[in-house]
Amino acid sequence: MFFRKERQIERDIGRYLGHMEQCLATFEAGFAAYLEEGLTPAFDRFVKTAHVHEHAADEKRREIEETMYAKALIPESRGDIMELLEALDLVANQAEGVLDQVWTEQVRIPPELHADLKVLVAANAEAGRALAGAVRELFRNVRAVPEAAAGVYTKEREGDHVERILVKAVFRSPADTGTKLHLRDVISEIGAVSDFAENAADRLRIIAVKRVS
Amino acid sequence: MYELAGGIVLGGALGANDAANVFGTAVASHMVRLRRAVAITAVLVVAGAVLGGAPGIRTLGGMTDQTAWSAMVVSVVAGLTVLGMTALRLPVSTSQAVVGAILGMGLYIDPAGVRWAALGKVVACWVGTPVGAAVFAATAYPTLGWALDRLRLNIVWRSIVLRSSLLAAGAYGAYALGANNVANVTGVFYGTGVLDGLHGRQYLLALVGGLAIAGGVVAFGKAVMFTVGRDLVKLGAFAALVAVLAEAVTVHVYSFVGVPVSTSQAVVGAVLGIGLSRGARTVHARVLLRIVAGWLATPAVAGAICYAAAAVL
Repeated sequence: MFFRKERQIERDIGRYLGHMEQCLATFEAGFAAYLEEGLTPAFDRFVKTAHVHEHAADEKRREIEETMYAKALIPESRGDIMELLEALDLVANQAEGVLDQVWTEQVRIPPELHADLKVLVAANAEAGRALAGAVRELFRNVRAVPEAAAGVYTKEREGDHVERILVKAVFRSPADTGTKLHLRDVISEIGAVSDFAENAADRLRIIAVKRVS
Repeated sequence: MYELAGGIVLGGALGANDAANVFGTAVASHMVRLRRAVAITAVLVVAGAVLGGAPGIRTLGGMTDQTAWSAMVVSVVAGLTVLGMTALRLPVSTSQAVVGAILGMGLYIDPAGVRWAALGKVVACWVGTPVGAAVFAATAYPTLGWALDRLRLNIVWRSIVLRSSLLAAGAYGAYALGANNVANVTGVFYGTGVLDGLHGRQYLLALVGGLAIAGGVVAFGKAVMFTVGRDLVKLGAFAALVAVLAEAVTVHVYSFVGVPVSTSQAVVGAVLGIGLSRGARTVHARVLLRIVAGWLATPAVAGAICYAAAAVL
């Protein structure tokens, strides 16, 4: 069979994106459960599930890197895919990490922030999903990548906007300074999901532009 | 027949050096496995030599009047010139060393026997090699780039297409190398009486020369492929493909003309052509100087040594 490794990489990247999307879906569902029921064992299950998906994505990324080290793809494509995977990895890591942070640090978010927090989480999860879709375009129609990547930027801006509203609300609340700083940290960590997605989308656009004359 | 040993050693050196010009990029960047590259090169060099080497053998064989013994001296001197100039890091080409040595020996044996018209044709082809490769590359780079772009391949299939094309271009380059450069190895023995009486002796000379080059590729090709290939890798896979293709086409064309030329100078010309088509407006004077020095210094050094060797021996 000719070029088996190359086609294996294409399939494995599809699977990697699947794990990343499952991690993002768990991130969103976990926060929904948290906002509804608080720090319950059900929320802990989401934390653990996110960890499983993030770990599976890591394993798949290492497999892809090993296949590429085994001399699949031309060097410049090998380098581009490696960099892209490293950038994608940060998105899933961040989504899993912030759920874990909320559980480990037993973060209690005031009810008046719940509505905006839901919007923030949704925007960040959407940015990650838009990124996965844009990466798929790299393997389907490279010319469609910039437009698909634009979806990531839109969601990242939405997230940034809500993040600022939330941080303002936190510092105008009667909570003590320690709590305010803690809440701001958690909000920033949630917002970082779309920041990492934006960075990965930037790399993706460059990879795509290089291949379209 | 023992005189052919001089040519066989020269052929080994040529194979070791020039294999890098056809598969160096693909091997150094791990796009083609070394063993596969060596095997393809060895087989196709012999095929090229036998199927397309005869015109060059006749050209070099007919440039001067040689004996089997003088032809052996020519081969040894050419080999030593290449070795010495490479060690001194001076620009050198086997084709130009061989022609210089033939001329030196021809002048010693019988200055009146030197066919200057044949020499003129050879020198014109030397100049035409980097220029032809540059023109081909400057034209092929945007044209093939446009065609590749129209295919709308994704990152994986683009990689597959470029790797396959590099493999095919390398194989063609190996064939062209055999067809063109075998004359350097055994051309000087044509008309000297070596293998006389055997049917189709120019093909036998081509076979012996081809096997000698292939032997050099198998024995020493690895190190040179990695060293030379790394320089071309910096160009990127597509530009490297165009460079190898330009070199192969140019060298192959000169095998029809019947003049052995330098594959290294063809590669340098191709890289210049790619640079120009990418928008570079200047060419480093040092690069041009190295090529011109190769045209003048190598045959002059080889010719002088050969003349002196003939006088001493």
